Amino acid sequence: MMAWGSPGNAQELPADEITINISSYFDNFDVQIVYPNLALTRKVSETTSLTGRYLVDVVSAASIRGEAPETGSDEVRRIVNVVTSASGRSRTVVSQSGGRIAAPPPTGPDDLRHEFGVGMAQLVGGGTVSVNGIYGVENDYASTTLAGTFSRAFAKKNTTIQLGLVRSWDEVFPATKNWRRDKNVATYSASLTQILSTLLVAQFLASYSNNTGHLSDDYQLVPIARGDTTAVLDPLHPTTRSRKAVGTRFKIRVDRHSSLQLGYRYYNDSWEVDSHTFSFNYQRHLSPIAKVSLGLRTYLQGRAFFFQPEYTEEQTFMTADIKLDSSFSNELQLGLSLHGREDHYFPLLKNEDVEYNVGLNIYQRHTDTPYWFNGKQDLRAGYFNIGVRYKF
Amino acid sequence: MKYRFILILPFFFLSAGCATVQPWEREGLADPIMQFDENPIDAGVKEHHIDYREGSAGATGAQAGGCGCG
Repeated sequence: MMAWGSPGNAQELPADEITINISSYFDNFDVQIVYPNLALTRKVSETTSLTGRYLVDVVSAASIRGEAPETGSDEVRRIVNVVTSASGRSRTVVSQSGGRIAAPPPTGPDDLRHEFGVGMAQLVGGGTVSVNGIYGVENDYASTTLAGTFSRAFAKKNTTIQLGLVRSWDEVFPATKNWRRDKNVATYSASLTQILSTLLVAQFLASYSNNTGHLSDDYQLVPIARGDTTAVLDPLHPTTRSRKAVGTRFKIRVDRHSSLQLGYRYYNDSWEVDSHTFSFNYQRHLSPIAKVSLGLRTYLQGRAFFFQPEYTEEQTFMTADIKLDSSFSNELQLGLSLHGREDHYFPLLKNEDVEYNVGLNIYQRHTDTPYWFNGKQDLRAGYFNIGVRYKF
Repeated sequence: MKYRFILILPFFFLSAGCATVQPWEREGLADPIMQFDENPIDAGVKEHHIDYREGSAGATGAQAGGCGCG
């Protein structure tokens, strides 16, 4: 999962810094994730910078733990197949009448994932080339990723073009299966950033991703209702998926202390999922050391061609993955940054090379179809992050 | 393509580049609040959560490796 943004401005290396973050995700589908992460960037010469990163995901989820929801209603016409993976517990099938299954008490996190990354940025011929390698491993998935970007500025640095390529070689081996299958992803991206005036910067982004191999989530089984009986089958997704997205962002200086960012993205893929994303972000300096941000994001998505709310017979392609349903979501983003100053009275802020960041995102998603596991259409989630950046 | 009209936007941006902002006029643009991804790692992590709750990805400025996240 390790994520990183563009490697700074063209013709500039990233600053020497160490970043430590503790992030937490939680939602009403009973998923909790805590993931501390650490990144270190250091110049090794006038033209070369190295970066190392480490992240660990600690995941707790009822769907993994084996706790089925209360389903006493006679209207439940599905079999909930509850599988556990992290601890290797046995597979459990809940009868058609539903009900809560008492799972063995959890003895630790339900899933643990480690991710390691190394990268290098190099100034080359007026531009910047960066290469990053990431390896992620968990009990049922392994991923090896290579990513490269090239950025160059033109027209007295008023125009910056960046090209990127990400190639992933993944291996999927669900705990409930006795096979290992490959998944490959190649993503090509381009961006153009244009300074339009001293108060306005615009950016255009485009990406194309080709996904091949095993693209199903085998923990999400598909119920087939046939009269009085219900069968449960493995999902069947197409083995190819090409994904295209274009977007644009504008950064507007409102006054000496604040700015506004507006964004739009259109997405479309070969599974006929298409979406529109609208974003808004306002940032303001409250004082020489404090900066706040407020953001809003709205997302609208159409359904994949093979997604059905209910299957009554086996199909060539079938899925219970709620991400492929028609949906909309909204997100509120709040952020606070405190930048140190040499003459500050508070000891932790008495250093101009240190910056503290706190963020809270509140997310809500509504799908047309209830989620197969808990019958809910509305996901409500929170994301909290606290971190420190120290430049040296 | 439905989004074909968006593809002509770069050409508008490039033509607007003829109105060049001189280096000594860019002090305000160096302000962190005028950066698109001032904290790229944090932006990428947040984008990752969204990618695994929704069916879309790409064209956000962030790059990421693979994950078996559900």
